[in-house]
Amino acid sequence: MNPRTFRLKSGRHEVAGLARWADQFAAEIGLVAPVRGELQVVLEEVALNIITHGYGEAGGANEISVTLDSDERFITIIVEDEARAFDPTSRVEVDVSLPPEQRPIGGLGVHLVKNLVESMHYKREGTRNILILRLNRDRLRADQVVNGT
Amino acid sequence: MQISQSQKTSWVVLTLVGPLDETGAAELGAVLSPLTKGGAVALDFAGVEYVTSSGFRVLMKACREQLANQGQFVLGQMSEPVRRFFEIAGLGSFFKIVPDLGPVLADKE
Repeated sequence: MNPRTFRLKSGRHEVAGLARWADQFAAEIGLVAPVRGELQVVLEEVALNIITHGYGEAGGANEISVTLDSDERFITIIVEDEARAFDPTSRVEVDVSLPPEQRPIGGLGVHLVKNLVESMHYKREGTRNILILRLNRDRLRADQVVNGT
Repeated sequence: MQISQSQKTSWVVLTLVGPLDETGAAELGAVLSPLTKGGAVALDFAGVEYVTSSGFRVLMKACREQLANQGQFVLGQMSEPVRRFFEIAGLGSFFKIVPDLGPVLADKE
């Protein structure tokens, strides 16, 4: 299929439109419900990360572009923005081994993304942040990766 | 997200339908806020499709408040894919998660 691109403004309420668009994409390529959920989580976390940490409060007029493509094995997600340089792959790992009473509330977004996708690459090109993620369409294979750690 | 509230013995039950994402989390947070002053609250997750970090944030906050007020906070009827999000988030033991809310809600304690 041809890749599809969606553009959203940098505002928290904009992510609902991204989710609706992604659901349409998922339906068109016949994605099974669990992987559709994973795709939605990845997209929301990456977009919110740019909205809150990249562009910040003053970001309303700025744009984020999300491109989705798919082959038999993977969904490729390319997210581009013009916020300050921000590499989500370098974020400090969440310590999931902490006892419940010591777990900080929040900070889980990038952790979820890292653990859901097959690969995640960041590059800065001129004024643009470009994040390329690959999500496995094969649920069983994705489970093996999680269980293997 | 659709949130319906019902009462079963001493429990307030919230039945959730839809994704617990940024939008759903804001809606759930508003409903939960007056309910986390103690007492017993159960969330029925059967109709939840996925949970994002915004959803986890609201759940963690509500759970902490509830426990600090000597209340109970239980999640149940979770599908396997949704349960997996809790495991990946490392929150499988943060919450009390039961496969079937039935026996919990029948309890009068």
